[in-house]
Amino acid sequence: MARESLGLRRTALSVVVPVLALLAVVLPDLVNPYRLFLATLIVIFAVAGTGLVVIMGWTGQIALAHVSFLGIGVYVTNWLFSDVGVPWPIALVLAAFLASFIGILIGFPAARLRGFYLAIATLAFAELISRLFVEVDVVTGGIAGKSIETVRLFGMSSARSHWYMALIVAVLVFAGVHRLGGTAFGRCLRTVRDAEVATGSLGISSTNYKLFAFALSAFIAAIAGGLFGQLLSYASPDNFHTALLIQFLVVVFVGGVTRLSGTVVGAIFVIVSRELLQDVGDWQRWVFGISLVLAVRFLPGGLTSIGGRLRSRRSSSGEAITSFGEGVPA
Amino acid sequence: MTSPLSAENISVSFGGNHVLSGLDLQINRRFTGLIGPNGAGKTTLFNVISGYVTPSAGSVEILGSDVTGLGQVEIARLGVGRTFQTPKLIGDLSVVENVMIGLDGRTSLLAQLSEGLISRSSARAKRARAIEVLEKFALAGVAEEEAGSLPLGSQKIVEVCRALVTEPALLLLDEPAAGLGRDDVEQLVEPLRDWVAAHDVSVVIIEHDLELVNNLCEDVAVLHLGTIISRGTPAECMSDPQVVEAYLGAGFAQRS
Amino acid sequence: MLQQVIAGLQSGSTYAMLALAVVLILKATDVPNFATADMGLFPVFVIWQLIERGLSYWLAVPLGIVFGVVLGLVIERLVIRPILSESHFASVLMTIGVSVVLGSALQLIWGSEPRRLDAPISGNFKIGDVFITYDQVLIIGLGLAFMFGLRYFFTTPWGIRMQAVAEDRVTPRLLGVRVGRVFSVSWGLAAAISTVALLLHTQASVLTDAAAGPLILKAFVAATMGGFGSVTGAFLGGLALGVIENLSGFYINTGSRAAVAMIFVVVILMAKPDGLFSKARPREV
Repeated sequence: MARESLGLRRTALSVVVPVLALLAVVLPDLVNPYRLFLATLIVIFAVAGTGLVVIMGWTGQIALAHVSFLGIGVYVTNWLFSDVGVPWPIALVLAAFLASFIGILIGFPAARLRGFYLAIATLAFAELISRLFVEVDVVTGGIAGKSIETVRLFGMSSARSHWYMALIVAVLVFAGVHRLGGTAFGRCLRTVRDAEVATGSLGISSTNYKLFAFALSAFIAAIAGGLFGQLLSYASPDNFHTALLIQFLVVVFVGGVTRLSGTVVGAIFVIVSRELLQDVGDWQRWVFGISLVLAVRFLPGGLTSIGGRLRSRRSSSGEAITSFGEGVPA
Repeated sequence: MTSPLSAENISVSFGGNHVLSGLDLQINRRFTGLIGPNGAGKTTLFNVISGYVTPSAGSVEILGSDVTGLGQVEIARLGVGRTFQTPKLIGDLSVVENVMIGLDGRTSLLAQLSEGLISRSSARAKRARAIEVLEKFALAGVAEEEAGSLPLGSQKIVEVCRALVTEPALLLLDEPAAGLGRDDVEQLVEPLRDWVAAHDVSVVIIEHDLELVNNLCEDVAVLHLGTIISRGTPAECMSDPQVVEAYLGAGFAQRS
Repeated sequence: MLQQVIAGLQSGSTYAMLALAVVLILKATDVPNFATADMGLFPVFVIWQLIERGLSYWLAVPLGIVFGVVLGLVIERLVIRPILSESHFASVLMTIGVSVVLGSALQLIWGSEPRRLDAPISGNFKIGDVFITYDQVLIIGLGLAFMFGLRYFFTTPWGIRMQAVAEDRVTPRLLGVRVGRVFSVSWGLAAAISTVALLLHTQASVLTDAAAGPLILKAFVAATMGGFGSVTGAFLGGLALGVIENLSGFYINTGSRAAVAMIFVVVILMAKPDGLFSKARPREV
């Protein structure tokens, strides 16, 4: 990046950011509760999206159990808060740790396998967790579901409370993840993504990083889940199906799956689409399917780097891949 | 002086394909060339040494320790660096960040997390170290460029920098000059020679560019059909009739 | 119990056939195609529609298969080929997107009510204590036929070209192989197999837009058990999955079916990460 554009970027940011911050704080006074609810939903979807950016965009792993971890966040946070009496923020964090622990459990067998094995394993796991949501009715209320106890901040209305809660969580998550991404940890994740073959020779254990990224994304999904539950006010296993997964995938892919900031764009797209297509419900799924197909097809450079084909514009093209056995001439 | 690398009786097969059979190799010079026709098993040998492949027979000793059967990460931590036939860089990171990854591998996951969230000083030190290495190879000018935007030759040199930044004791270079023009080869060879003179490192180079091998390596091993068929100075090996036959076929052996 | 095994072989044959389609596309184009089941379901709806319009079963089915093949070719050309230079990551997400588009299109066009598609041959016969329907014989038989057919296919010139192209897209092109043709043929063939699989499956149960969902995961699980490179392995994996599912459903309870199958797969994957039948072949260096 040339120095000049960096300077310009900095100036722009120093103006835009305070304006946005001010807007965020006074938003509840500017819009009606329903619009505020939508805005909160956007923030929550963006937060959930960051989890997918970490595991998919940065580590290049196809982890499709995101909705399950979200669900764990919804149910466990509520159960700890409502039935067990743990203060809500602590309940949220505990639920998130549980989700990441479970993430490591499923990640463990899958981390050693090829890319799409993880996709299958996580899809299978999502199925199992759906079943679990029905069975463990102490926590989840079984098929019928369970009402979520609302949390209010300082006696504000629930809509306002939820907005500020989501905002605070979002700022923490985005800041933390962004920071991590720019450091050694972020670089190693990308090495697992683009040059997994080389990781061992560099002293990087790709399995460890995959597991950690997976746990981190599960953690973030559960955090988003805790907030999501507040908005739902009543949760049943129906809420956590593949339709929601597709929406999360659209959130990250429309924004360019490697970029954190993209999740905000993606979240806006998904929530607005949901609203616009509310009356023609069946079309929603189709629109999201097409969005995903188009986003993957036309993603500007984002997906090309995932999977290790280094784009070298001036190199000789069409280098054949040499197998270990050296049976094929290079 | 302990030989930095000693491989004894190495055998590797994939399915029915015997890639390496009873191979013996000891390195005791700074620059050793490993040459041989395609399909001879050179990269496989590197894979055995760096822990990517476990041999079905034989043992490998690096810097005095038996590393047979050890994993890639453990062997790397002993001080072994390597490059690959096609450079494995991260396209959307900058050149200097790519080199820093070499040092990242030496930091534990936990340490990296605290580095990320708390202190920044170790990051600065890493970056300075990476720039130092890039300067030696005349690449400091493109340090902030996206690695993916560089031509292949420069990318391969960046990969060498990444391998060197941890000051390994054993460096394995897999066809470093493949696809490089004359200028690029110079940009690689001279700094590499300087580096080796200034550090305690042994370099093993797989190469098809025989001029480069002649120029750089004091010692050459010729690999053919899974075993070493010739060993000695470049001149000795290249006039060895067995070697000529291996490269060009039986009809040519008589002519040299 | 034998009765359950037969039933298991029947449902397993569906998984097995779909697994064959998955492995075919993977072997030929290196794409894990998550839309395999939906690509087979859409033509079955077309068949149903044709029959509703008065066409005979024996005319509707071939037409439907042709439709399926065309659909497969269109998908391959339109959305898959452009991203072939990218990794599995792109293909998986793309095919997931395609499966959503197809499934939701089915719902938009035909709605969600379950429908019946009747097999032309009904009835059963008895061997010892066990009843076997003609349906079951047909599906298990066809499955085996497809499996042997594919195995043989991979030894023919076309089949060899396909595998070569999947390994390395450059060299075969240099040798004159029409890579595009190879891709088209493999997708068309896989689409035909999926259509037959879904046809037989929905004949035995019901025809709904949601029929594909549970099947695709099982197809992949079956292919995984076979190591993804092996046609026989994928087929046997599918049969095994069907039998285990049925037996656990019978002996434990219906809720356990999914769980037992999944646990079974995880155990296998942990023991043999490359599947039960694969020839270990590490890939790139």
